[in-house]
Amino acid sequence: MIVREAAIQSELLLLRHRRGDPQALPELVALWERPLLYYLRRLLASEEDAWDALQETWIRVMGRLAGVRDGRALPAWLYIVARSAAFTLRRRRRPAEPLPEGDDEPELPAEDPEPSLAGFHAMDVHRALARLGLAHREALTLHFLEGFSVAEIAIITDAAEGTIKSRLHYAKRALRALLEGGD
Amino acid sequence: MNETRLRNGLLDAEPATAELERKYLESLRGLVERRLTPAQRGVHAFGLLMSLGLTIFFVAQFLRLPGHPRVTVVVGLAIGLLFSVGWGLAALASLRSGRENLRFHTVIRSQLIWIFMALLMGLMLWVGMTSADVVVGIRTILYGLVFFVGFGLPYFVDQVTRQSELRIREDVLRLRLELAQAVAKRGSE
Repeated sequence: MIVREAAIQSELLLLRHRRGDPQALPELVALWERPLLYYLRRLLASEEDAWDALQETWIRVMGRLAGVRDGRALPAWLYIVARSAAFTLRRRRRPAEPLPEGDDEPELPAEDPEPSLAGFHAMDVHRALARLGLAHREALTLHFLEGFSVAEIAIITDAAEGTIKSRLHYAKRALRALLEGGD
Repeated sequence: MNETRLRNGLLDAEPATAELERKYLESLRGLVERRLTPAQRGVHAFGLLMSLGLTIFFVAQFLRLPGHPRVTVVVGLAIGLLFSVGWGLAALASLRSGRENLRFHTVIRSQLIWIFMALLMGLMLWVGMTSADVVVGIRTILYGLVFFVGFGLPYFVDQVTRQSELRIREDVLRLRLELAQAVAKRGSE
């Protein structure tokens, strides 16, 4: 529910920002910088890169915030901006490294039940996330942090909904295997 | 583990290097604040001197007023004095901190200008309507109306409409937030 609260708070802050409240923007930054940093850290190789991408994210947000009409879309939009900033930085600093692939997931098996991650410690999930591939790590991070729907993750990551659905499924299965000590 | 606990747990698990965080915060402050260049300092110093001079002028005018001055004259001088003092204080604040908050200071300055213009327009209408000389009165009102319709009225109508619309939406969102918090509290109990 904290996720829903953060979304409503962001909408409120956007309105306050439009009304000319100078405190609204710093509060918006404070509300989102930790989750965005966490997400960026999952996309980028070093902590320094993540901080730089976060800074670039806020530069872009400040320049474009006036154009955001629907406050409900703000959380997803912030992640889109952060992702774009991260990949720009990646391309600039490590041009040889590939970006996450788009439609590389196998079909979702019809009979395979949704893998459950209940009962595992957040710290263990955090460590296991680091061992997943970039595309899986990204989809799960967005899902865990903000509870984004498949459709929202598809928009943020610029992938097809079917791909994200299957990506989340296989990512959860891989994560569970890691958490249980398997490969 | 529920989604809130997982989210908080993940965020807490992410270490942050203090030095990198400090650099980031510094650069973030640089986005909304800029250090004044010597030229900008000069502009603010000039603004401060001008407003100081105008403040002295208006105070001197007040002191020179006859025993029973016209109300419009007193109001006119008061408007001028308030604007000069306000502008001077804003310039002084920027000069003292050596930085300018792009949002805060620009908002303050634009509000000062608009309030000054609105008061001046009102005063011109008032002077025109109470003038003993009909021709001068009508001319003053016309000047006032030109300013009012040209600059003030569209701005104020737009501001009032937009502000009230945003306030209503803000109230609705506050209610939604309280509801979400109440539901979350209930869920955790």
